[in-house]
Amino acid sequence: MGTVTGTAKTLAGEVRNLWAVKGMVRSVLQPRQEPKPPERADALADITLRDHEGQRVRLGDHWSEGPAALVFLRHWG
Amino acid sequence: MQLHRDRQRFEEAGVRLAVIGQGEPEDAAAFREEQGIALRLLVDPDRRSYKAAGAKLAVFSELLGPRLMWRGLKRARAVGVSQGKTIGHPAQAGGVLVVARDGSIPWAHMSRDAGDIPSNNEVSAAARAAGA
Repeated sequence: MGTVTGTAKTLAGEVRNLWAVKGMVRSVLQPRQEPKPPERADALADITLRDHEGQRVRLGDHWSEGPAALVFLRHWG
Repeated sequence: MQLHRDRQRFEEAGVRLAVIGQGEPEDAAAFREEQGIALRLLVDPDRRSYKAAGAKLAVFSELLGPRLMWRGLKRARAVGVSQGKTIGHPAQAGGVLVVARDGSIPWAHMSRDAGDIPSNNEVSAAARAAGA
C-alpha cells in the first residue's frame, strides 16, 4: 500500500512538474522510434561526463582494461 | 537500485560499471544519499552519450501505459525504490551496453519502453562473456 501511495504522490508531483507534463504531451505527438545501439563504442569513448562529485570522467577509460557495462538510466530512482 | 546491490558480482567478474543519468552532479549526489548507494554516478545533461548509445525518446504509451505502470509498481516494491521527480528529458529511454576491451559492443539492450529493463543477471553474463 505504501508503494501505491508513493506512486500516487510521484504522479501528483509529475503533474506539478510542468516541464515533465510538456514533455509528455509532446511525446504523444512524436512518431514511435526504435532504439539503435551501435556496433562499436567509438563515438562514446571520447565523451567526458561529470560524476556525482563534479569530477570529469572519460567514458572510454571504463573499457580500456577490460569489459564495461554502460547503464543509461531513464531518470534517477 | 539493484545494480548497487549486485555491484560486487560485476567487480568479481572484472566488469567496470558506468551508471549514467540526466541532470547535474548535485542530482546524482542527492539520489546517492537518498538511496544509500555507493556506486559512482555520472551525469549527462545534454544526453550526448544517450544519443551515441542509440537510446530512443519514448512516446506517451511507452511511458505511462497501464501495463507499464503495473510493472513499475511491482519493480518498485521488489527493490524498495520508488520513482523520484523527473530530471531531464521526460521521454528519454535508457538501456545497457556491454563494451569489450577492443571497443566492440557484443551485447546491447536499449529500452523500448519505460518498463523494458534487462536483469542484472543478463547484463553480468553478457559482460563476463565479453571479457572471456
